[in-house]
Amino acid sequence: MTVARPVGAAAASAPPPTIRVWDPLVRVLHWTLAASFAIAWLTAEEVMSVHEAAGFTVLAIVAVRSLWGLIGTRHARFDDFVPAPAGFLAYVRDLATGRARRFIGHNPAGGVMIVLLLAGLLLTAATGVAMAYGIPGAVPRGEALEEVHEAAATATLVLVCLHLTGVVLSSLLHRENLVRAMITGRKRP
Amino acid sequence: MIYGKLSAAALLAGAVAVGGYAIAMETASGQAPATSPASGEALQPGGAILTVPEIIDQVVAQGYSDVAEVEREGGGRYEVKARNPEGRWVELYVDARTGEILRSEREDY
Repeated sequence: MTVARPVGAAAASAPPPTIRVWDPLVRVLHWTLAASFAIAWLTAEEVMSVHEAAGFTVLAIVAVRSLWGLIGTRHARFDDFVPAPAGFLAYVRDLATGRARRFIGHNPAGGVMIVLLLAGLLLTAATGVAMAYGIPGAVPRGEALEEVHEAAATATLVLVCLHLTGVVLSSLLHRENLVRAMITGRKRP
Repeated sequence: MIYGKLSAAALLAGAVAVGGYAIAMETASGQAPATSPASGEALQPGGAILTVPEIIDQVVAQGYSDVAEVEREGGGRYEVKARNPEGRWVELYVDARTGEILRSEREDY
């Protein structure tokens, strides 16, 4: 973790010191995943080759991100932000009463959102793969599979909207720009 | 925290399983043996995607009848609903380039 310190006379006008929170892999995967999901959504039932390529990109990112969640840098690891149920409920209670404390990494609600988003994306990708290649050793695909695929994609889109709402609310609550932090990787300590 | 490790491991396992399956299926259909169907028509391994009428011809030539549905799937395959030589409704996965029947399953939904 590096600290950018203003030096000497420049201190007064220099921006406040920040610390590196999100490593480059976390940031690249985050924005690539967002772009891939958007592309897959927009090309659904239209440009199938692009839709499938975007879907496979999503699947690969879910794999790499969860592996990085086991072995990655401090704030990339799921240990750092996936709460126990009690911790999640306590945070939501604090949020409702406006007393939620600031976290350097993801807050507990954000941690739950990450798992839900990745699970939604995995379910969407899995049902998409099943539509393309069939389910091993099972009945041929029916309309049901297509509906599950669409429902999973829609549910994931709803989660994305909740995620964006959470980012805005958390940014306002703690007076920091979380979107910029996910671009630069840096936050105030 | 155990919840972090569990969720990361579950997501990783799921993604690897689904991705591995897709890669296996893609590899298998790419290595379709170049045996000629009953029609004796020349096959086009790795060639152009066959048209729907060509797919119907290929399937009928292999003893299937009453072709009711032909749908282009991802992964270089068609999905065809027809009666098999025994008269039973089946759903076929047909290689879109060679016309080879990759899988035949009872239509039971």
